[in-house]
Amino acid sequence: MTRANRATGRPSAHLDDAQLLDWWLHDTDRATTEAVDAHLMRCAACNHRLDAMLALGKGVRQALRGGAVAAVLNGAFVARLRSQGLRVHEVHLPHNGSVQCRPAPGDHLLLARLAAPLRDVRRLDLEAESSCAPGRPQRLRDVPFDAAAGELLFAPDLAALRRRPSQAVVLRLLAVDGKRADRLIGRYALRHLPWLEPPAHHLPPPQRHAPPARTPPHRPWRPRTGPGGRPA
Amino acid sequence: MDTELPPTPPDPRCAALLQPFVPRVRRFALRHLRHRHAAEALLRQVLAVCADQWQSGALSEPGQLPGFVLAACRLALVDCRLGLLRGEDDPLLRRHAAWLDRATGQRPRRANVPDADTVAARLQHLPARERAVVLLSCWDGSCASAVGLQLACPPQRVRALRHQGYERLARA
Repeated sequence: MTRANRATGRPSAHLDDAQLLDWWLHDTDRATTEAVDAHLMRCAACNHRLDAMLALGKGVRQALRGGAVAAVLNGAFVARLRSQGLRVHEVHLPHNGSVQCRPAPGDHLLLARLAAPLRDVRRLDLEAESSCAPGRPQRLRDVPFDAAAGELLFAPDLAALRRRPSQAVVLRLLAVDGKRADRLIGRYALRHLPWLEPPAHHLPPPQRHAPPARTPPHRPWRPRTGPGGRPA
Repeated sequence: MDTELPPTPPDPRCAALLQPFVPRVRRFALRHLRHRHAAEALLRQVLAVCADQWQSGALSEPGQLPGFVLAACRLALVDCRLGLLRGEDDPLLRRHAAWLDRATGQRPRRANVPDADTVAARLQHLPARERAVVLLSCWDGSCASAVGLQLACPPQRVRALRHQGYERLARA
């Protein structure tokens, strides 16, 4: 860790990107945190680099929010995305099954839940082949997965899907073992259809102002009195 | 009864000396509090305290400022955690309100970073595990152990993947 030069008040060396990132994401111990706090209060160059890293993180968030990233996610993360206002269009694909999906324009993410027997799988690859580019599958190597969950959550690049009128994406899960050939765990078909505006007679009627609810006139509370003015 | 002093903006030299600390204090507050509004409240308190000390003469050397600002930040952080941060009706903040609005309203020029489409294209080139780690870390600033729990991966490995991922994103 760097120390400030007492004579000039300037830091003697700069922090590297890993230290800055660890500090920002609370992966530093207390002494390191305090030292980085002190360094950043003095050093303009490190502040500038940290700014660039934070802006990069913002770009990642925007890309995810725009559905422009194909990624394998997990249930807890998807729940967090939902709780923070993202609209997730979810489709369940049974083992070796297929499904049609038609994400709405307001959906941020398309999430395919691929049911698969993942026990005894040590490394998993996911291959995606679009009908628009046959014979050119894209392979995600060593995807993170939870063997006990019995499913894999895959978010395809929704922005790219939307750019085509309609297409089928074949997904293959492959168990990879260095000694043997890849073993096919499951094969799925995701048929993406473009969004169609519903016909007018399916749209809900325009909302009108509801008439004011009829409430009884306000009567101030008074104790009940019996004959002769005594409490009842 | 307390008599409130009239609004007194800090002298231009003090304002100019404190201006570079605005983004630094804001970043400090965001890192420690993870809350935008709380961070702004901390920033205003720290700036007001520093300007006050400068005006009173307790602080006169520019070289003292970084240490003083950091100490003020740490004290304000404790105040914030105890719910004792000064409100907008505090006499000190009211006295400096106009200057504080000006100083904290100036947003620094954004660092030169690629737009979201470029970042998305670069993300597609990251290996799957690195991509997942970067997404989970960036989305809400989760630490390595939290990300590791979700991906069944030890924190050290998460940190390594995160650094590699960021480096590739920035460099590509």
